[in-house]
Amino acid sequence: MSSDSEEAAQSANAKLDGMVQDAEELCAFMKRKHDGETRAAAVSVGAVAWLAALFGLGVISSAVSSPIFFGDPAGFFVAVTAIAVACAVSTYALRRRRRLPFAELNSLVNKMKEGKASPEDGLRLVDSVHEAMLALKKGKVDDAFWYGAVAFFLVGLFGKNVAVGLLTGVIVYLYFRHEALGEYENESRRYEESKRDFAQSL
Amino acid sequence: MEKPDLYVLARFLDTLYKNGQPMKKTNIQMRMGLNYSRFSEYLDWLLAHGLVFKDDTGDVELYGLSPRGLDSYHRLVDWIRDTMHDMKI
Repeated sequence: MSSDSEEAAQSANAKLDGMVQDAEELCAFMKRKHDGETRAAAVSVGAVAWLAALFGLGVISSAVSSPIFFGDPAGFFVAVTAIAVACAVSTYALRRRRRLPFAELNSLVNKMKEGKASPEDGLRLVDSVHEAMLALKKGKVDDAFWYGAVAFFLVGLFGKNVAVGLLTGVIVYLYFRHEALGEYENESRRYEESKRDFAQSL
Repeated sequence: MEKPDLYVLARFLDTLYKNGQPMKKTNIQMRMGLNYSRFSEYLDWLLAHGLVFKDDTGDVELYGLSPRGLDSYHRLVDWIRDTMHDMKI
């Protein structure tokens, strides 16, 4: 190779190495974000479940005039808290099971760091990071349900009006679902268009 | 071939780029790891689009990266880097 082509080759390798570094930082950020959102979702679900259990068990115990709960407030709160903790733990476990492909991404990044990165590896990495990002964005659709549930309980409990609470919950759910799906579809379309345009420009 | 696979194109361009010299068809095919008919399809596509040139002045046919192919290789690397850089959560 001539010195010009050697320089060009070094420049191409440097760009691919820089891309690997960007991918590594992005993966680390996505993992932190996913973990944080998993914890936040577990706490939110726990809080909603606690309020729901408080309301549900309260209604049941007053309807049947059970002395179990009214006679033993500590036991009542332990039961409510146990339900909330069970809901929070199962949400945490469920979200952890639906882990994004960080292990695969990390192994791809490490493989590229070991040897010289090729454009094909780069394309594979870009596709994988994009898929992980989309999965993260799609997770927001699930979160919309919990935002709706929180709105329902807050308005329902403090406003003391179940119908208004329900309406508010549905509106909040639909709004956040619409936003999350819009963001997901825009991102997906933008990437596919960019890839198609590039392929056609060759 | 209407829509070539970008991964295969990237591998093709990279093979010729890294070698630096025009190569024999068999050597390219071996490095590409494609069957002959698939390889021929891609080679024909690259020749038709002016990304690869054929040198048949010697005893054997050699294939190398044309200036347009070289430019495409660099644009591919730039596209990968820019796409990764623009990815935002």
